[in-house]
Amino acid sequence: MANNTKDFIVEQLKKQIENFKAEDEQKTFGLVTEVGDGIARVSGLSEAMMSEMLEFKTKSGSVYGVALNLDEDSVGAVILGPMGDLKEGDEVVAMKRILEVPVGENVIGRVLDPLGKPLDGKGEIKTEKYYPVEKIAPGVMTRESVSEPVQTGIKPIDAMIPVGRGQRELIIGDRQIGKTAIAVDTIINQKGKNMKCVYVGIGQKESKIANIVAKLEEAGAMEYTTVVLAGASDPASLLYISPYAGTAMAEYFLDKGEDVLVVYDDLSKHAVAYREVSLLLRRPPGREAYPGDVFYLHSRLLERACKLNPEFGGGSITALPIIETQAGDVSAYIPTNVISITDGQIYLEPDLFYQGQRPAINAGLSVSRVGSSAQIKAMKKVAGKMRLEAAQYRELAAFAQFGSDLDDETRKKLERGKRLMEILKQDQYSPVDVSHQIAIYYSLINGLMDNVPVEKVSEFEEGLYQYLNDMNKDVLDKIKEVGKLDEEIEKSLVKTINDYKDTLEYLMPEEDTKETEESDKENK
Amino acid sequence: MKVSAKQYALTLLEITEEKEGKELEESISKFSGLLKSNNQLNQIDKILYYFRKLYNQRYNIKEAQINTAQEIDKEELDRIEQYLQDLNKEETLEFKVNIKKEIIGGIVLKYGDRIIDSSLKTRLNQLKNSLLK
Repeated sequence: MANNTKDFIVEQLKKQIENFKAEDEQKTFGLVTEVGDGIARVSGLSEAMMSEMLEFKTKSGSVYGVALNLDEDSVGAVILGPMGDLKEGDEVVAMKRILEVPVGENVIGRVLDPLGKPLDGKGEIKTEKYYPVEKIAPGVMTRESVSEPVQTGIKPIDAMIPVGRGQRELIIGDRQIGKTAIAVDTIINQKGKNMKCVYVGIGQKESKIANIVAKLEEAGAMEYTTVVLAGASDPASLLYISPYAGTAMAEYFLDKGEDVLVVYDDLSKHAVAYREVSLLLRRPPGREAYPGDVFYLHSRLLERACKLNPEFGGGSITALPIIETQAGDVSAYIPTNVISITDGQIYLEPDLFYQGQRPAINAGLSVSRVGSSAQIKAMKKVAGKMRLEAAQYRELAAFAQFGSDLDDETRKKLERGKRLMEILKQDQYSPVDVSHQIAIYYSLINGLMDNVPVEKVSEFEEGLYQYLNDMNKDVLDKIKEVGKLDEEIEKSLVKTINDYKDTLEYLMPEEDTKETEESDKENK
Repeated sequence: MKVSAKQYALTLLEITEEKEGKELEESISKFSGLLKSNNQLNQIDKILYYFRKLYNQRYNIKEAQINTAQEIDKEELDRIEQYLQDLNKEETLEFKVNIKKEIIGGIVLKYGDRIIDSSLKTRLNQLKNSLLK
């Protein structure tokens, strides 16, 4: 028996070696004439293509690079990864293929570097398919307008700044203010929503990424998420290609007609890495020393986010780029560039953050250019009123600081506004389901929460979700299923909310509320 | 105005064209005099690099290198030279034979900026990669 297996193995090996055919290809080669920080200049290579892979043959093995500058009699290349003992005079061979990364189902749940090498110690990625890192974005004829929502599970975003599948929504704000938290919460909330996620960390601390991966694993989100990481200690060339590599992995699922969410964290560091590479390659510097093509750098990346029409598979790539501003300066070079490329931005403000309003989303400066077409009807209905309520509150709050004599109407608006601000607060890693969001907004705009004390709002909210889940799951399911609030659903919802309120002890006395209800009726 | 190494090389090529013997020597010494007076003698390495390149370009010469692991006899060498000559019909080839033990066996041909690698070392590497797949 043992003999048999031995023979079998030998036989298999023989077969494989027999099938192997060595081919001698004519290739172009060159010699390294100059080596710098992460770059090399190569003479010869007369037929090198743009962004072609180059193999540098050093004494201790091969190092790989990409041709970025094609000059009259030399080629400028960036080296992907450590330089090894690359030195002047080493031989360089053009590999006749464009830079590619492995793609496929196997990348899901993994932490990879921008070249598709594993960083999580779970073994090599085994895939058949490779996609080019740089690819032209889908054209006009293949696209469709954004119509389906991405449920971020973050209350203020889903209500006021809805994100659709295929949209590019920028998350912008100072450091340490919860930009990554929004992206990670969104990924966590995609569970069971038919969405693959790619998180691209560009120049991030490895400890931060380790935290994120641990959190995603805990929430069960790694089942549909790929993490692509170019860490802070990686060379600029790797930071430069990492978002493109992440997008290539997303495009595999796009081509299969699936929906993908890609987070680029963050593009300011990407621009800085590209500036480093460009300056080392002696491209002329422009504003803030960035090269002339930083705009193209980001526009060609974000153009790859798309919603394809059914003829082309109907898949989508939603992009959530992140930009870190310096001291709230949104008019710096890179932030303005990316703002103009994306379909809207979520602006996070330090003042709100330190007041305890978290997520610190500034509703005034944040917009979504896709708008309410990326919301389900029920959400559209409650969000419209809610936004009005929020705008009125902001106006009145500033005004009311000066005087204490306020008429009834104004006072009520202020009271309701305070409750609204409470509702907009949300803890990290706890996304809220759409139907729950609709229920809480519904109770607010219809005055059902007017007799809940402001400091008890979050308690009320939590209890309401629990009560709805336990007592009237049907209505939640129906909201999601039908997508709108018809009369029947509305009645059932109001009844459940009122039943829930009857169980509470902290409600304020009745007299206040009667008036509100009456005025509500008048409004209707 | 600064004159680049390439321009010097071109000048050198032009002044030495179709000259022989004494005349040639004279032009070369004039050229080195020019370099000296312009304080450009430190550029000589670059100038010679470009001169070689331009000279080969003008007279359609390509430098060819044959790397082998062992000594090869005349007959074999002739066959290799004939093969390369067939690949580059228009050009005259200048041959150079190197012995390189590290390629284990086979030959590596280089001409211009082309390379044909059929060394045993590369083949073994290819076999390794195909077995790993």
